[in-house]
Amino acid sequence: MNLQPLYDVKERLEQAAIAGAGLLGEDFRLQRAAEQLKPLAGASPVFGKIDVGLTQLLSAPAGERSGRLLDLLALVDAVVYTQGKTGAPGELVPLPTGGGQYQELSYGQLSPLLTALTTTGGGRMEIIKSAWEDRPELFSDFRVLPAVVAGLGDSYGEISELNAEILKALGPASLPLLKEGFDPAGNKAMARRVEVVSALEGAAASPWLREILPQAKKDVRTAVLAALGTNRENTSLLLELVQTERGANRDAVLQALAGQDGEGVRAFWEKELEKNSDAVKFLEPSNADWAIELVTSGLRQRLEQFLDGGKRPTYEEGTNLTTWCWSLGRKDSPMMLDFWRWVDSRVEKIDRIKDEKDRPFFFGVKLTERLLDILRHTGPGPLRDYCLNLFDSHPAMTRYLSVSFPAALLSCPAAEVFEKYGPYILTEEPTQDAEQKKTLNTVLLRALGDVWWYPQGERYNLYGGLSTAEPLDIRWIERLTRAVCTDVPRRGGASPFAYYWEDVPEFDRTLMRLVNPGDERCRELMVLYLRKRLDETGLPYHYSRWLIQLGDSPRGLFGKAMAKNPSANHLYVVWNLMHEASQMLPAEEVIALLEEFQAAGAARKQAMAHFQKAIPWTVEQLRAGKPFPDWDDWEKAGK
Amino acid sequence: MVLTEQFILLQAPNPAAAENGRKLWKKGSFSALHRTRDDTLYWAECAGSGKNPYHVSIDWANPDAPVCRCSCPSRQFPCKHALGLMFQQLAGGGFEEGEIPQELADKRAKQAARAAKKETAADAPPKPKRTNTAAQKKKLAKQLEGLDMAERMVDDLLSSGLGALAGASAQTYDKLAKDLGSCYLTGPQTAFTRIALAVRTVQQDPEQAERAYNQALRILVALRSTIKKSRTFLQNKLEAGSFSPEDSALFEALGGVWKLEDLRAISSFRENVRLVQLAFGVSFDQAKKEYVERGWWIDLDAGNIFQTLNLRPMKALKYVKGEDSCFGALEVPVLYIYPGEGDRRVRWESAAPRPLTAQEQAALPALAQPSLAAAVKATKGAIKNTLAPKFLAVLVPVGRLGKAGETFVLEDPAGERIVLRDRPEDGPGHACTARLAMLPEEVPAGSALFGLMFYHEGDHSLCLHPYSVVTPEKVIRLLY
Repeated sequence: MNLQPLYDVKERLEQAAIAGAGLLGEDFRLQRAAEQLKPLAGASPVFGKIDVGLTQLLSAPAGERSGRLLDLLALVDAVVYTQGKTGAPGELVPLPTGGGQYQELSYGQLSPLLTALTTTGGGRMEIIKSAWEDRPELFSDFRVLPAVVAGLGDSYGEISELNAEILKALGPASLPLLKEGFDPAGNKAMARRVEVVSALEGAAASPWLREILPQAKKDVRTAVLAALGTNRENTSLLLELVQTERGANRDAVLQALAGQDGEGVRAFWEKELEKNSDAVKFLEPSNADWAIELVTSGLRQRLEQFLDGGKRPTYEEGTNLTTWCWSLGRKDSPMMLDFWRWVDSRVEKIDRIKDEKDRPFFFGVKLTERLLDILRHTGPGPLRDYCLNLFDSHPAMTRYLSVSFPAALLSCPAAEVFEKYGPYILTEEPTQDAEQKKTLNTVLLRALGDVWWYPQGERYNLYGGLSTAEPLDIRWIERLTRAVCTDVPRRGGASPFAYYWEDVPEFDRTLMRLVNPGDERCRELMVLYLRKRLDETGLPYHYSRWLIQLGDSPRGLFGKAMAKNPSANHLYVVWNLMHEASQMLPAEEVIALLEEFQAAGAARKQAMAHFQKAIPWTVEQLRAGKPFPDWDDWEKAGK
Repeated sequence: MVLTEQFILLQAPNPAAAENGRKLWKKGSFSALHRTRDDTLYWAECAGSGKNPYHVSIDWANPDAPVCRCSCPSRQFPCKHALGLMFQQLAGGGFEEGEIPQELADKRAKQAARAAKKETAADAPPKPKRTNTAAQKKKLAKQLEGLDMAERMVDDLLSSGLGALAGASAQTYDKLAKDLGSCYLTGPQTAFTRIALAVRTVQQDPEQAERAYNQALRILVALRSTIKKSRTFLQNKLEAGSFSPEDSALFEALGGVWKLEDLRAISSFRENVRLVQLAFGVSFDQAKKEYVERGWWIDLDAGNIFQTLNLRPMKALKYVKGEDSCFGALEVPVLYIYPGEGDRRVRWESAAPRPLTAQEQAALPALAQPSLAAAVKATKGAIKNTLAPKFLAVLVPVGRLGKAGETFVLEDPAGERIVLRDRPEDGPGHACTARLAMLPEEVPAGSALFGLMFYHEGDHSLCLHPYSVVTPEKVIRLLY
């Protein structure tokens, strides 16, 4: 049966409801639809009923039309539903299976993650990151995996990068999804897919990469070219491509060629570096012998021409030399050791390289920083031994202390390290060689700034992630708390507690990073020191908070320090500090601090009335054995 | 009772609390782990942000309703520490047998006394419910008055046309709709709010016009039907002087809220029912400004499909505990069933979760409709009712799943086919048909597909929005 007349009537009735029942009399389209339905009306009683309904509707007085229209629509709807067809013609192709797993994950576990992966807005990064850290198994679920793949195109770059890292870590499960619907002429998301496929398959991705290369455009092409470098069999292809590609794509080929090996590759790089000296930056990650040889010999050659002081580098030459220095990357081999010895033997001359306007280039400093970076990421071996003795062999070269000291921390017993280097921390003003001694003091303090107590691992770590051979000798804390030259350049980074209005010296921050709160002696020393500093500086928030963290109280100094800058004492920050205190200290101690605060008249003027109500109320609550009030209650209590 | 992860998740006040509890356990924050010889009490210390650890305990005297205690100041109940201790218990790690601390023993005794008192009160014959006849009469009269007003509003709206409902007139309708609430007609009130919302959608996004007007019209049709049927229903009640609840879906359509005792009074309940959740989802009802947490369940004995609705208004979000997906079986001593047809709403006062046995799981697909044709017939029968929702939850047997061109298709064992697609009204949050192409494994023979069958205006066909694949080994949820 042709049901089109029925659908037409339905559509016209709906249009009439939208346009208004008042216009029904003039709706000739509805009348025509009603006419066309008449043949069906004879065929079936239900269509007959619709036909009657239509006639009544069109002839009804204005006041009744609305009701009749809805009744008729209800009838037509019911008939349309019962006439609804099913089926789907055509060959049925079985569904593919994906690479994910099915896990019994509840809405509460899955929904926040899926929402973060598939929507926009703030706070998503944190959700994805913490889910990945705490429950990585969620990401291999077949409902999540496609969202992570789609998230490679997230408008927030950090999320798409995190998604790429997650997919790499999950293994090959996502490969079918990554390759399905891949568009070689697509956008950045497709380029990231190439990057992930390459990371997952390594050399095995080569056939797929070669297949998509002819159609690949823009970002995708760049990614494909770079990924071709993972397979040593692509050398000849890359050597051909480097002749034809331009701009970023050529850079990608160079990046790929940096990962290749063989005589042909070495020969290419020799020629390339002659023509395009800046291309050396692509050799930075390479640890191949030929790359080390090319970089070190090239750098030596370039430095040597300026060592005698006759010729001075231009700005461009200086920038290029810096690039060569950076290209040393984290290269570590016996050949590198020869290079470092060569640098060491000429370090004074290298330091003297200046530009035409007599401004130094600091190549010596840059090379020492490279050496330090390599040391921070290298295990035990000849390089570490070399670094260990570097300062001993050149005591006048103060910056070598920043290399030898971490090498000692990484390899020597704690007592030995302290006894050798501890004296460089000055505990009284030097009378002789003051400048040299103060410089060494500062260099050592800066080096100590790269060390911190890692509570989760219960050990001391160095910047770079390596742990010290033994925990720091407690005598460091003893000596540092007595240090007299504490002026260390600011390392950057915000206040650890977001008390941005207090300018706490970098020395104290360095010292606090070295504190192992589980060590009773260390705690004792620091409590004394922090109380002294609280008194000297009058910066109550940082020093009180540190004292509280160590389980001690700023009592006796607190009120006075807080009263020094009452304008900083907003209701919330005071609550926050006291709440922290209530978590660590007994109730009587918190009461004492609150009373001290009030007695000192330390409240911010604008919030004085609030404090005058909130503090006695809180004291009362604490005396009654109740917990320290929540912020909402504290705020309300002050009103 | 066997402690499962699912059970812990069900105890949690919200998913974040459960996850935080899990983190505490993973971090190894618990120490001094103890348990009683009879395994009814577990207690430990948990490192918190304070100097002193929190004392946490879980009392399993009633295994279905554990009593969690913690010395932390959290207002969430149970707190993350108690949930973490449950995870610790689930992992089976290192609880030493010990004597119950005095403080806990005292609290336990008090709890037992309270339970005994409650039990005595429950055993006592219920007090006869007194009905305030005059007030009920007044309420019915007011409702009839409200129905007249609603009818006038519908007439006015259709006379001028839905297209004219814009700007100021939409606000007027919103105000009038509020007056319906004063007449105890919150159902029609919500219907008017939905119409106004749909029309606003047209104004904001003209591309959605067809769908929004269609939605508004279906609401109007249902409203007209509700007004007509309710008028007769209320007049009959008023004349008969009958004020007790009746087994009629109209009560809810008018905005009535069923109490369990009323459902018991009309004998709308069953005892000792075994349920298995097939799917779970959450949506936001813009008109009522509330989250709707909907669970779809199947009765393991009779094969009926039920739904649970947990409504969490925005204004009271933190006071109403959120629900979550439930895996395994649920033993329900008394299942209260709402009046109506199709997939009826159910509630219960207490239920005990347990893992689903292999036999029960294997039997699940057999509870499907005998064929696709039977499911289609049931759906057509259900959705043609103007007061019923325009979908029916069905479990249909799977012959083959595949794609015909770009369309996902289910073919039943008899060779009948239906198009699988997402129901547009459910929104992107429920879009899951495409996940069929990502299933980790092939759907084995003898499986069934659970989902919502609905009428698709675009091609005048009945389609199925798949929610879960029910195999003899497991329920694979495409959604949650």
